[in-house]
Amino acid sequence: MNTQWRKILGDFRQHRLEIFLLGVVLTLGTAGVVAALNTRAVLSREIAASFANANSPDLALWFDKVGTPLLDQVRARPGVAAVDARRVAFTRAAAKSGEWFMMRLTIVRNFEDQQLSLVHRHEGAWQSADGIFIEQSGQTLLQKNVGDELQVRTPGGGIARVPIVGFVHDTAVAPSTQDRAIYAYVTPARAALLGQNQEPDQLLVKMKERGSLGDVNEFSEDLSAWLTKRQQTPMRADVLANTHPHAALMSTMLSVLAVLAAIAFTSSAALAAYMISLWMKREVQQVGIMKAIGARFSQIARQYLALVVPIVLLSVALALPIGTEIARWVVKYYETSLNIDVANWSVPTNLLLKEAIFALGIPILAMALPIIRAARMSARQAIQEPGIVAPTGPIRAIAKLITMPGNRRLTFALRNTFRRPWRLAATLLALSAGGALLLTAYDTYESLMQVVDVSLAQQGHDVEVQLQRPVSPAQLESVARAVPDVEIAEAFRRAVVNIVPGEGAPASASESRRLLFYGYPPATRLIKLRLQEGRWPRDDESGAIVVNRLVQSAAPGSELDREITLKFRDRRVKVRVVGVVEEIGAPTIYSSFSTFEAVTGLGDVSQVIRVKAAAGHEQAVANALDQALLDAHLAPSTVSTRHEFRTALDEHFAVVTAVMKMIALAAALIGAISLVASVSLSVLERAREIGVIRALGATPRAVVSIFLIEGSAVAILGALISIAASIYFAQALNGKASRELLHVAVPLYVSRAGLGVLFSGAFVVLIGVLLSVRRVLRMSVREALSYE
Amino acid sequence: MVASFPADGLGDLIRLDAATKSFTPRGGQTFHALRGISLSVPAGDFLAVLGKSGSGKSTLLNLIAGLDRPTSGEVYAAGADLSRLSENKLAQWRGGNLGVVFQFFQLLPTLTVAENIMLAMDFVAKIPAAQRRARTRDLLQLVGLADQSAKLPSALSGGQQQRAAIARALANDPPIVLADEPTGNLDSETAGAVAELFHGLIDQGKTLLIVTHDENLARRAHRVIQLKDGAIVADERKAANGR
Repeated sequence: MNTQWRKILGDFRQHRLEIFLLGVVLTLGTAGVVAALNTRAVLSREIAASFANANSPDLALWFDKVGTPLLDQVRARPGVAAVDARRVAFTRAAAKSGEWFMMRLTIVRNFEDQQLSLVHRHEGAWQSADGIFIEQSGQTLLQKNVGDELQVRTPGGGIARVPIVGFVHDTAVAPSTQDRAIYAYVTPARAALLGQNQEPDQLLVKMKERGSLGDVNEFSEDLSAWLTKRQQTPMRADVLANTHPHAALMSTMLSVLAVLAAIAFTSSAALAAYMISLWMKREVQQVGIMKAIGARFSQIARQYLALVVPIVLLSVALALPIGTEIARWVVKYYETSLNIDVANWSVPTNLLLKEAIFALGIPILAMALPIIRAARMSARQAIQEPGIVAPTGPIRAIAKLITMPGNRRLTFALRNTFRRPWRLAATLLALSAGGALLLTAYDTYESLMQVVDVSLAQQGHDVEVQLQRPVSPAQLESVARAVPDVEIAEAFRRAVVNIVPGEGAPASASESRRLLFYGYPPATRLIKLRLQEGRWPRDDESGAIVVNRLVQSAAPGSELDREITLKFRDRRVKVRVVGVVEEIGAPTIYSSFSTFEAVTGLGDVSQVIRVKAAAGHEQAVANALDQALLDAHLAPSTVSTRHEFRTALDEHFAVVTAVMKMIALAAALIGAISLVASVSLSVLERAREIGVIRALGATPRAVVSIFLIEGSAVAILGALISIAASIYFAQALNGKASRELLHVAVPLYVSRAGLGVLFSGAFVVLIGVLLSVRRVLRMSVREALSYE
Repeated sequence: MVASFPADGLGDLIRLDAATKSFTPRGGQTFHALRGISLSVPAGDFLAVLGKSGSGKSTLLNLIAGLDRPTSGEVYAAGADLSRLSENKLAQWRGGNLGVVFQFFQLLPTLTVAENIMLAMDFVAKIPAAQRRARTRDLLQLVGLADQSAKLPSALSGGQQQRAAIARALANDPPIVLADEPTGNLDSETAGAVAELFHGLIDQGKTLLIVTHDENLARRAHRVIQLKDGAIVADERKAANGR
């Protein structure tokens, strides 16, 4: 065998532990990057494709009844791609546990001939079975299977029992576990058996070319006007967003994945370069000897690259399938948590190619630099005396800056920490990247939940019940106040409105999406929302409203003191914004009863009761109130508690924070390995120095304490950088969540749990340092002094 | 407390009884670095150890310094049976009873000259804390480096570094000073100056053992032993004043 190859193989045998560590670090880092990028590529394609498969409509128009002639007329209109008719009812269904959940019941004319808002089955054809289909994500809440009987509330307040005949997939809805609601689908005949009106009242329209929201508004108005001329005036026309309800959440999650991929890759490459740099420091003398006997720069560089390149190739060969498999697992997780269909699991070939090129090129480049630097040294430089290797960094400056008066051991340990600044920087980069990711995940989640808790505390009520039909407020409050542990009960008024462009508005201005409109009773004790701007209207003040930030986001132009026009059915009324609040939830407008009546003309009826319960009795009150209303023949359609709302939000945030925590843990592991590896190699490198200290009289415990101080200093520095970086990242993510998701300010909350995990990790790292030092201490002082 | 050996009438500070040291590298043959060495060194003696490379000189020094343990036999130094001490006790014994001077100085590069000396005192805690700074000044004065105390080792010449290393070896006022090729890395003029320093230590009552190839240094010793293949082949005592 060629002697150069013998040297390479000999080096491989001698340094197999370091090579193994290097391989592990590269494989983990590359696999993490591949996983993140592949997940992002598949999800961004499949999220869009899955939603597109639902063929969601652009418009929804309401009539008393939508018959076939109307459908045919609208279908024939230019610009219309498809039409469909259905009816949606809100009721409640009981889970196996006995808990009642809100249910959105969609009455589908013909499952086999759906045109819009498609639901599909993964297995089995549509059957004409007499039963109810449940959206698949609802199975987790209901804990029921096909063939089980489902109890469903009827509008009259009774309970109907209906068999579950199958699970369907509706890719246009969020998972039931996040919305805490069941999505169900029945034929008209079955709807009649459930006490519901079986006639479709919604006309769904899909445009051939959607264009902007303004274009859709214009189309909607044209269509409504055309229908009016034919004596078919719609009661209401809604422009639909045509995006997944969690589009913003998904976009945030994809952005997070991209950032994490970049950080994981950078820290992995930096760590690999650092380990090779350490290795080459120890090889320098051999390089000098080889040069002294005639080796050229290219021969020496080739020799070490021949050792390093196969490691990179092997790491990439392992990392690509590992990363791909991890990506598949993550996509599968999101397939469920986002309720999407993943039809195509493949990763674009050009992405795989880019990953391979980066995964090969960047580590090789990073590791080649120290090899080339060592190979360029002159023979004289390289063959240095085998004394303690003097540091090449700004040691004078460090010696001046770091002095612990009266404690030379601490001085010695701290100066050693900084004696190789570039090495320290590489270690800190790898270590703090992982720590920052971990903390960011925890901080972001806890910041979001803090905001949720603050918002919920400002709500004032614990339970809100919506009825299927409006009733007398006095009757509603009387029933509610009779329920045990109810402290306050107030009947609110509720409607759904749009903000429309006023006179003089530009032609491009369009109607807003649907907004909740609540009228609160005089002297209400159940609204505690803190005003961000302006004031609350007086009880006798008409024409004044308070909006939340979500309204302002949905309808630009609704700033404080601005006059806007609210549209309810065919009524248009001008009102003035006198106050602005922040809350989490839906875009909501608040006003006194007088303003509510002026806008809606609905009269003295209420469809909502809000209740404050005695502390700790929230769920019991919700259940009792539900039963009391049923007993009074006031059938509720939804009963929501503060706890359920919080749980739903928690599930929403988990979409983003779950993947962050997964990747953060992996990155933190890489960071911890980097510190242990660097200390191990550094300890070996300083074996002779350790021998000298022991020769001077230092006990093994004293030696260990010096290295523990060094390890602690690096761990603490890494932790501080992690904390600082995580504050920056968490604030950025909080800002994004604030702007795109919640529309309330999200102040930073530094997670104690996250800090606990970070410092536990630092503790584990110190155990690794201890084990490394003890390995060297097992050498006799003589062996340590003669170590090279 | 370190165990002490029974006092003998000769007042030997260092004694080896049939000490051997063998090395068996993995997969290789056993190499006998020292074969049954018996040696006595009285207090205040200046002993030079000569021999070719591989004769066992450094191994002998390492055994006496407690830097290594004999394969068989016994090693006594400054009142302790070194073969019976634990690693912790050995370190404590070494710090208080021994000063070691290395061929390549082995100063700690991130500490100043003064800090290198005081660190040795810190490890052993034999010199009271309040006295360490003053003692360091005195030692540096002794070796002629009083004006270099705040410098890092990298700022000193080879000779200056070796003198600093000698000052460090004396930090805890040890009765024994061992030096392994202390002038091996110095030019002849500097070597001469260092040799003078060593002689001064004898005047202070130290017991000095030096492994050396330097004939000038060896000439100053009271006694010269020659090692060959791990055994003492010559043992010559000179006049009381070795000059």
